[in-house]
Amino acid sequence: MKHLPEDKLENDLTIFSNMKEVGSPNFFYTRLTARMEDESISRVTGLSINPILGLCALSMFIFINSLLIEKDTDIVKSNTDKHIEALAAEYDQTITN
Amino acid sequence: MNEKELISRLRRGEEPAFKLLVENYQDRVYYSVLNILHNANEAEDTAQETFIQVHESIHGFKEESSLATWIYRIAVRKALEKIRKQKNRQRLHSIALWWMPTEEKSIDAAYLNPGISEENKEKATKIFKAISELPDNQRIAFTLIRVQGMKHEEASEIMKLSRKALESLLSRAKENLKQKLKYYYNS
Repeated sequence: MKHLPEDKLENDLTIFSNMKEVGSPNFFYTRLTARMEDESISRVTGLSINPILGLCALSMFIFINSLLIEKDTDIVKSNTDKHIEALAAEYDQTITN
Repeated sequence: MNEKELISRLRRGEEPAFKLLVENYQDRVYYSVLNILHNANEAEDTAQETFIQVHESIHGFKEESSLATWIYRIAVRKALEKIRKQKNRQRLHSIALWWMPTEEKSIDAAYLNPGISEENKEKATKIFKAISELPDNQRIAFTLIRVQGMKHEEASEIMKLSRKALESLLSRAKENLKQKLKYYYNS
């Protein structure tokens, strides 16, 4: 037997013809309006940020900041060297490393 | 209040009209999505999302179909979105077991559907499980017509399919079910 016979399936499906219709849960409208209010508040305050998007934004923020900090460190370092050299020249000194 | 009047009052944002709409359709919308999703919590969530969508999109309703058909179409689309999200989550869960929270499994449809009599619950569970494994379109067509008892015309309007395409989906769904149920009855 490759398949279930047609009449067996039809017979089994009769259980749905006697199935009682189930109503929605109590206080459906109250819960619905509460959810709608919540959603409109979060839309206004921007709290409904998708957690995945939030995580991506945070990673991006950390990445950009670390790049900027690294770049700033180089600038500060080269500025400091130039400063010392200028100061040394002013007082007619030589710098030996 | 007739349908035209209800629609225009909804468009004006009148709350009593929205309440009336929800009260008129909440049971059928909930029952339809419960039969598709087989989970009471998700069915309520989807039914709520349906009415929120109706509330937000009523201005875009072109009245090419009846209000009821339009609402059920939204409900079916929302239920399908839920199924796809579940499938994606399950796929992700199988890839990243350590990261994803454990998925709550509750497909005991017969238990959750109080409309099924006690003596039929075991058989209904097997049939619901087999239906849930059908491809999405077959699952929806079979559920609307054979489980819920919807008329072919209404189902084809909701699914935006011709009568012939719907019959074909039903016939393929039945063939698939015969195969799946044979396996379940033998196991």
